[in-house]
Amino acid sequence: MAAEPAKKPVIIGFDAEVGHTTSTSDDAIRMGILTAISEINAAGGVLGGRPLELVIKDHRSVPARGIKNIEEFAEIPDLVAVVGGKFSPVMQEEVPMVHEKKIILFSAWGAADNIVDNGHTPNYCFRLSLKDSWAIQTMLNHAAKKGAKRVGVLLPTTGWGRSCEKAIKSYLITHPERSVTTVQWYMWGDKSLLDKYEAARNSGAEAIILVANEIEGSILVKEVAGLPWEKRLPIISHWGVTGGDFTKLTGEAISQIDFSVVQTYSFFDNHREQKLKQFYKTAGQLFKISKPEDIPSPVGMAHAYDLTHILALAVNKAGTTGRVRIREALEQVRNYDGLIKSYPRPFTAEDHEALEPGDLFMSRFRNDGAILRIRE
Amino acid sequence: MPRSIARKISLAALSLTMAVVLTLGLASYLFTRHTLKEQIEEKLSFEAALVSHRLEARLDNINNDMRNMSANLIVVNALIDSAGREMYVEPFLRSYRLPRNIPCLLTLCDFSGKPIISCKGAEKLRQYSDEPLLTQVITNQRPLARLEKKGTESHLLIAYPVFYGATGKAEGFLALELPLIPLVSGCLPDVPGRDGHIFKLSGASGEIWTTAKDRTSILSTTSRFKTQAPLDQLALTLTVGQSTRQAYAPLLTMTAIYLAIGAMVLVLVLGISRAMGKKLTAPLVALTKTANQVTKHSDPTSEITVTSLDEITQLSSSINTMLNRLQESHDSLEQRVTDRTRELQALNEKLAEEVTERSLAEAKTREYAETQAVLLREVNHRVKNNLVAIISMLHQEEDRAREKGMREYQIRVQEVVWRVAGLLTVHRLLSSSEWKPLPLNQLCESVIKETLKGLSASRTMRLSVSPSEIRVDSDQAHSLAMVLNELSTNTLKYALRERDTASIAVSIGQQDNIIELTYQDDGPGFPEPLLRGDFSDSGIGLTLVNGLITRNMQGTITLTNDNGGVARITFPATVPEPAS
Repeated sequence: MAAEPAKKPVIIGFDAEVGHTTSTSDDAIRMGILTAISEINAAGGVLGGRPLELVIKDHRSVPARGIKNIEEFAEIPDLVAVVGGKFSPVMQEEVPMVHEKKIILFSAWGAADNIVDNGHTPNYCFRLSLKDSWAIQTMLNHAAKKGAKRVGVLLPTTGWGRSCEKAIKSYLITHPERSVTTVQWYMWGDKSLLDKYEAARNSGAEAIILVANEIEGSILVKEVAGLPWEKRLPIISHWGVTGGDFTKLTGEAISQIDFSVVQTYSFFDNHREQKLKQFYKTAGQLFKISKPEDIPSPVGMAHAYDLTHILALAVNKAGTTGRVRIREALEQVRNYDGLIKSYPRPFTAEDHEALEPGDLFMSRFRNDGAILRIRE
Repeated sequence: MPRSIARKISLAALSLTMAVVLTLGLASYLFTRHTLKEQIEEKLSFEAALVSHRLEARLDNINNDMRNMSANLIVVNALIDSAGREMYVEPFLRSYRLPRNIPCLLTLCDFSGKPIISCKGAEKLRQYSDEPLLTQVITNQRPLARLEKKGTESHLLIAYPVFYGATGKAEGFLALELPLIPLVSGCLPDVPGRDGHIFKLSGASGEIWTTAKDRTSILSTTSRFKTQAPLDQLALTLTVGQSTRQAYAPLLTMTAIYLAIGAMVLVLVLGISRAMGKKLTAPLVALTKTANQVTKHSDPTSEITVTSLDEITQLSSSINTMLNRLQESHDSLEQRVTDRTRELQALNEKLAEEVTERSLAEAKTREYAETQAVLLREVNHRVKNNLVAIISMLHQEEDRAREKGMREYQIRVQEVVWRVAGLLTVHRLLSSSEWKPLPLNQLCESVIKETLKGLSASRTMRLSVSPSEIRVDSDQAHSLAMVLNELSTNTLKYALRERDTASIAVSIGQQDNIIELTYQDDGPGFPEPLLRGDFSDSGIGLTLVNGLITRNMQGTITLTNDNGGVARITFPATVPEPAS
C-alpha cells in the first residue's frame, strides 16, 4: 500500500523580537505555539489532515522591521494568521498594514489597547492577553490596597507608554479619590531612571506605577534598592518586566524592595489539571519542560498555547486557509477548554479580547525568578 | 656707405648701454618675479590653510553633532516609538542649526531608508534607500559622507547609524543634507576676491565649486582637509589661487617704470656719445681733409697740420714723413720712366725697319709661289693635254691598224694607250694633290679602274682594294701606276679569255718600313718561268714591271699562282705613316 503524499501545511506566522538580547517573551510565545501545533498535528492537523507549521520572522522590537515582516508574511501561501510578540509599539504600527493585507494579527502579549481597539471594520486584530486599561486598573487597585492613594507614574516614551497614560486618565475619572502625583517619561535606552523616581517620590507619591520592560525595570529596581529604606517606595509594575529574565538582571535587588507585577496566568496555581497535564506532556517532549520554574515568561507561553488552539478551531470552522473566512470563523468559535481558562466564546464580532479584566492579578518575583500570585 | 667714427662710437656706447640696461633689467625682472611669486605663494598657502582650518572645524563640528545626535536617546527611542514620536523628535531635529543659518534637511530613517520624520516635519521627507548608503550605514553600521549633485549645487550628505541598545545593531540612521557652497563660502574671507584670490573646492571626483571665472594662468596652492571619518571619504581639497595677471601687476608697473628710465638713459648716452665722438674725431676729420686734398691735387708736398697732443699727432707726423718719402719715390720713378721710354723709341724704329724688310721678302716669296703655282698648273695642264693628245693619236693609230687588219699592231698600240692612260691617271691624281703623297689604295683603285674602262660591256670585272692609310710619293706613284696598269692589263687579256666574269683583289700592308702590295686575280696564273723569276721570255709589260720595281723603287716582286695569278710587291716606305 503506497504512502499518502504529504499534505500541504497551513502556515502560522510569528513576528517577534527574536534578536532582542534580553527578551524571553518571544521564546515563551514560540514554545506555546509549537506545543499547541504539536498537539493539533498529532490529532490530525487542520482542514482534514493538513499540518500546521510555524514561520518565524524577527522584528528586533523595531516597528519598521515589523511592517516589512507583515508585507513578507502576506506573500506566503496558506498563511492563516500572524502572532505578534511582546512589543506593543511594533504591533501598533503594523495595524494599518495588517488590514491592508487582510492578515489576522494575534497579540499574545502586546497590551496597548489600540492594537485591538483600532477602529478598523472588519477588525483583523485579536488578542489573548491583557490590555493596558485592565492592567492599569489592576495595578492602581493594588496600590490602593497597599494604602497608596497617590502614585507617581513612570512611562516609556512609546505608544505603549501613551496607551498606559490614557488608561490611567480613564481610571482616574472613575476613581476621583485616587491621584497621580506625577507622570515621568523616560526613553528606552536610558541608563538611569533614578531622577524620575526621585521626582515621583518628591511629588508625594506613595507608590510607583512602572510601565517598563525588563531592562529599564531592572535599572530602576537596582537604583531603588540602593536607596535607604525610607526612600524605597513600593513599585507596582506592568508585566513587561516578565518578558525577560528579570531576576537575573536585578540580582538580589529584587528582594530588597516591594515589587509587584500584573499577570494573567500562573502555572503555580492552575486548577485545570487535566489540561496542564496534557500541556506538560507535549511541552516536555518538545522543550523538556516539566514544572512551572522551567517556563520563561509564563504568560506568553500560556497565551500562545490557547490562542493557537483557538486559531485551529477557527481554521477548521472556516474550512479554508482564506483569512477573510478565518477571521469571521474566529468570531464564531465556541466552547474552547483552554489552559488558562474555558472560553465559551473567545471572540465575538464586537469583542476581540479573549481574556477579561477579572483574569488579571498581581504577582511577585521569587528570588529564583518564579512569578507567584499575591493572595490579597 | 662708410660710417663716421663718431657714429660708431655712439653706436658702441648705445649698444653697450642697452646691453647693460637689458641685462640689469632682465635680472631685476626675474629676481623680482621670483620673490613676488614666493611671497604670493606663501600668502596663498596661508590663506588656504586658514580657510581649510575653518572649514575643517565646521565640518568636524557638524560631524560631531551628527555623531552625538544619532546616539541621542530621543532619536534612538523614536526608532521604536510609534504614534506620538513626532512630538519630541521633530522639535529635536528642528532645533538643530547650522552655522550662518545654512538650510539643511535632517531626517531620521528606518533600516530600509524610509524617512520616519525630518526637521521639516512630514512636508519634506526624502527616501534614502540607495544600496551603497544602506550597505555602509545599516549593514556595515558605519557612518557615511558623500557629495550629491542637485542641479548646479553640490550637497553634502552625512548619514550616521542609529544603534538600538536592545539589539546592539543599527536599526536606522540619521541623515543630514546641506548645501556645501554656503558652508564653504562662510569660511572664506569677508570679501572673497578682494585680494584677487580664487578659491576652488575639489573632492575625490573632481572640482566641486570655484570662484574662478578664468582658470588660465593661475598661481595656486592646495590644502588637503584633515577631517574626521567619515568626512575623510570625501577627500576634500581647497585650492587658493590668484591670476598671474593680477599677481604680477606690480611687476608690470615696475617694468614699465624701468623701461621708461632705460629709454631716458639710452637717449642721454646717445647724446653724450655723439658729442664726445665728434670731439674725439675732429683731428681725424682735419687729417682726412688734408689727405683728401693730397689725393685730389696729387700734391704730396702738402703738410698736415694738427694741433692736438695725442696719438693723432703722431699719426699726422707719420703721414707727413710718408708723403715726403712718396714724393722722393715719385721723382725717381719719373726719371726711370723717361729713360726707358727713350730706349723703347729706338727699338721701335729698328723694329719698323725689320718689318718693312720682311714684308718685302714675303711679297717676293708670295709672288714666287704664285708664279710657281701658275707654272705648276700650266705644266700639269700641258702634261695632261700632251698625254691626252698622245692617247688621241694612239687611238687614231689603232683605228688605222684595225682598218688595215694589222691585228698584232693594233694590240700593241692598244697596250700603249692603256699604259699612257695609266700615266694620265696618276698625273691627274698628283695634280689634284699638288704632287703631294697619294693614298696607295686610292691610287690602286683609280689606275685599275681606268684600265678596266677598256672592258667590253658584256664582261664584268670585280675589283676590291683593301682600305689603307699608307701613302706613296710621286715617284713611287708613277712607278706603281705603270705596274698596276700592266698587271690589270694582263688580267684583262688572260682572265676573260674563256669567260665573261673575273675578279681582282688588291691588299695593302706595311711591316716596319716595307710596304707590301699584293695583286691577285682569278685568271690562269703566271707562266712557269715567271714564277721562277725569269722574265726573259715575258712580254714587254712584265719586263717593264720588274724593271720599274727593282730599279726605280728599289723593291721586289714575287709572282705566284694561287687560284689565279698573285703578284707580291714590296718597296720601302718614303712617306711617314700618319699619326693614329
